[in-house]
Amino acid sequence: MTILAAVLSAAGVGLLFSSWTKRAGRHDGSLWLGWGTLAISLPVWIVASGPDRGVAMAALMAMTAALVVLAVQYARPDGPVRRNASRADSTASQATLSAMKTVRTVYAGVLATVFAGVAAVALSASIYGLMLGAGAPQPDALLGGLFFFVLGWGVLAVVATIDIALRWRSIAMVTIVVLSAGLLLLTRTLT
Amino acid sequence: MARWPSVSKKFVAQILSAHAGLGVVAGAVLFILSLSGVLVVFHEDFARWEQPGAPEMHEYTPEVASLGMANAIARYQSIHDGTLPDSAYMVLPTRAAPRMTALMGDDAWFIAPDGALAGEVDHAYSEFLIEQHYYLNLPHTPGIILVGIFGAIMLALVISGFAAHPRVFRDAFRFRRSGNPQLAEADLHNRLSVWGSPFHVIIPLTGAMLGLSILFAVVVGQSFHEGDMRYAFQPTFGAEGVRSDAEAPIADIAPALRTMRERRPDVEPWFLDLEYPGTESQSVKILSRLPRRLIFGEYYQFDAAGEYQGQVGLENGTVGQQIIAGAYQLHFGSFGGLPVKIAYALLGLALCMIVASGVNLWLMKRAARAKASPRLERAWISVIWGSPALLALCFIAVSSGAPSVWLAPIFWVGLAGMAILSTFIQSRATLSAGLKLASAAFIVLGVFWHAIASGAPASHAFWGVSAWLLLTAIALAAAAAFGFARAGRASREPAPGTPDPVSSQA
Repeated sequence: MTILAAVLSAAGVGLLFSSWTKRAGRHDGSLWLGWGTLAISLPVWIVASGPDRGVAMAALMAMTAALVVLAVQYARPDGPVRRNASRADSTASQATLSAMKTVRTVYAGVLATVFAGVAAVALSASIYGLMLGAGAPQPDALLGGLFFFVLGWGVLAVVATIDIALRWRSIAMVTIVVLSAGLLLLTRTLT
Repeated sequence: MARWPSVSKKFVAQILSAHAGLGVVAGAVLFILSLSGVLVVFHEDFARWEQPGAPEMHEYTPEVASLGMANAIARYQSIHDGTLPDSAYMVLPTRAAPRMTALMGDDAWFIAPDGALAGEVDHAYSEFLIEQHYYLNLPHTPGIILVGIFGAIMLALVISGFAAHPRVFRDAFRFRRSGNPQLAEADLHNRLSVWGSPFHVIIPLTGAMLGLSILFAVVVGQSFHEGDMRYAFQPTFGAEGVRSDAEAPIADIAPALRTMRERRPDVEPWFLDLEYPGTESQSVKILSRLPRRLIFGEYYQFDAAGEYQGQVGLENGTVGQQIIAGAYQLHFGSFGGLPVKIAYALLGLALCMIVASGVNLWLMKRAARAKASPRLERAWISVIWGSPALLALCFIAVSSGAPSVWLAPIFWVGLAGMAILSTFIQSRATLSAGLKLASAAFIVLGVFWHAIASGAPASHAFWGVSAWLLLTAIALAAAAAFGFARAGRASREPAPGTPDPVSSQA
């Protein structure tokens, strides 16, 4: 059963690759056949390896098969690589980093780590508290809180470093921190 | 009708800026965490390789484990003026790691098949790899939180990466190896990112969840559990018992192991905790792996007489309990034997390539805007190829008898020194090839040194790991030879400031 599941995963990725390489503008039916084969491989993996482990194995096998396809493509260059004058070994045109730019970069780093972290932990702790308040088992609340802590931090780190005026980013982050802390206090009071 | 979402160019540029900024700032640490993560997947194999002469057993009786535990506790007491440890642990032999060890405090001993102690456990190198991946070689609490923060940043990179590349799935197999080197590098970065995306989401997500859980527990403990952070974990992993100071004969673990085998012959016990030995509150917990499950195991609890008391619930408790228990295996790739470990290593190496190519792209774009940073380019190459060289050097140091506390300074000071010295080397290609060659040479030297020092025992683990390391060295040496040849061709170019023909050195 494991072999069948592995074959289906590999065939699915192969069909997708075939569809991508053959297409001229639009994909043919092999695109859907490829995705379909990958989808069919999932229940086979579940039967072969158990429910949670099977899902992990299905994803892992598809990724590994794709990695093999990419490795073959990488090892088969389709022509000489053109020289890149901009990456010459010369030391010409070295950039300088102004003090102000350094300060702004460090400040953006603080926004992405400290501010985003504080907001994320306050927000996720509120989710934890709300889940407990709603009668969820504690381990489920722990999972929900941890999941949103990490995901929230990731999203807020992007917000903190997005290429818009630093003052707007600062205002946004401070607002999010204040709102998250307020939500945590409210949740603590309510529960 | 457009099948793919249309996103404004301005938004893409803004997100791309965030992606590049985060990647450049965190790139070096993320690369080192990814590389050490690849090696940590094989930590059990490295541990067996490091001490190839340690006794191994595929079968054991509860009586042997009990005798081993008694001998280890007696040895502990003889070292520590008769004091008993708070907990006495035992790692039980499994198919993946067929060794029995007893651990208490900072002491650890192998147990022979007859139950006698068989030397101290001394896996300095595999411990160093674990310390680097879990804690960046820092003190444990700040270290694991810092690693968790880098996990969150890696997740931010995944989020911003996909948001900044709306075409990335449409071009899922597009791989331009000719023409503009920047496009080739971008294709390498994007294709590996797309096809490894489940891995690239799961690894930082689970890693950051594990790393930041302490911080989260402190906050929710303060907010909802009257300052008790332990409550955050107790319902999931089980509570510690309450210690009693009243003395009692040290419990025999054999009845608990026998009961375990009778009740659940389908599971594989792999860790045993004798809590508060020699007191009236002593108890036994046996952590066992379950077949066909992703969870790292289930704790089965016994009293001092070996009577079954129940299980914690990782196997059949709430959804949250089961998912949290699965996060460990998902992060470390320890749920499917060697094939899964190899897949994790390949995907982990792909992650290293994504990090490396991401910073390469940033450097290329700067150079294209006449803002080249040649020193930074060389420093980045030294991080990429200096890290494996220094990891191999650390192993040589361990094999030569250097104290384990030297390893972290060798790596981190060595890396900083290498980054500084690299700025004086003119050719990126020569630097890159030189470091690859150094990595290969150190690996070969380390393997042969270790083989001589350990007497090259007839052990599958020893020869298997040695063979893999030598194959890695051969691949690195071949890459170095290729790099030197290209550097030589570049140096024969007539004009000054000749472009480097190598699209990507790092």
